[in-house]
Amino acid sequence: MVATRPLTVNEFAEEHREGRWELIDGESVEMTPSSDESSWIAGEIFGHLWNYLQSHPIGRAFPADAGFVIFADRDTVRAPDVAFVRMERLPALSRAFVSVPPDLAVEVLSPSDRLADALSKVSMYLQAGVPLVWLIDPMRRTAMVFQPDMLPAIIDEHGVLDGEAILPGFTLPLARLLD
Amino acid sequence: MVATRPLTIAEFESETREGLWELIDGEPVEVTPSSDRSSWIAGEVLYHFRAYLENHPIGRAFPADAGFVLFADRNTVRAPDAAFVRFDRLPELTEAFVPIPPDLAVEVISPTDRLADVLSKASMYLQAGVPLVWVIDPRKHTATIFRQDEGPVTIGKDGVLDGEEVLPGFTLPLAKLLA
Repeated sequence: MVATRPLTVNEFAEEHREGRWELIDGESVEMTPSSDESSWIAGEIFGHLWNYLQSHPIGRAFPADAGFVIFADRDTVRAPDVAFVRMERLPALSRAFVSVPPDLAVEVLSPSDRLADALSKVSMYLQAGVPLVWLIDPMRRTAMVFQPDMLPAIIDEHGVLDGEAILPGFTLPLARLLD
Repeated sequence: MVATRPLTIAEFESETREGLWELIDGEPVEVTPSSDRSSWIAGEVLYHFRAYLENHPIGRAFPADAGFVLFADRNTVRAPDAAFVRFDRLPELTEAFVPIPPDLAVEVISPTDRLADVLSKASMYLQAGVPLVWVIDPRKHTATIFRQDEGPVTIGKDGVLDGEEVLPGFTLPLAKLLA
């Protein structure tokens, strides 16, 4: 590994890069493009979230290309596959990375993803204070639900993703994402 | 956060420190002492490992103060609350940190631990290739089992910790740790 000087969030934001990148403690890391299935599932979740927000205008949904500055004191910008931020935490858009961690982060595993890396990303969201994280695993037809101070819960293909206190009344049967 | 130069493992090892410290990507981080219950549970797990290894001399068990070099290319030394390493991977002791990740890492959650940090540590073990990780939560009377290619599974107080392929035939009812 070549030791290079860590980047700040601002330096990372100013550089032009091909593809999708994240910044992890000053180190820029390229993201492997998603599989067709994973990308489709992320799009479906975004669609359901968008529909919900039409009748419950409580925040904004973001697709996979949004970067979130998830810590005030670490040069880290991460891009969930889908994310939701409550309006009160992000009253106006800024023409820069989203300056706060999301209220819901969703990751969809691709065949090229290592589960350990996905769990590492999820734990970083939780460390940043994200109150609800969904990790969808299309290959095993399960989803993992993470909340601070709760052990991860696994739901199977008959289970339902619930918006809990973050998206009151939002439910999405996992089966609708696995067809 | 004061920006300091990251430490190498050799530098970390040569410095004298009070208490138990880990090195995470070059940054020394002090480990908060465990609660009495968590420490006792870690000791019990170690004792059961030792009892098993008397009859199955396939490796070595380590208590909470052993540092493991988790990655060949990251300056990271972490200390599980209890750990097991197979003899074929560690034929001899080295008078230094264990130079490889363990085959089984056990973490016992203390009341001062943030679950997100514990999850982060568990996922780092998985990233390092540790095949089996147990996270025991005394307050919730549960244990969560992490494996390389499966989502984490949580067992309740009637469940049993199984050594699987790492410690064949080893079983430890969780209830024995929660007395």
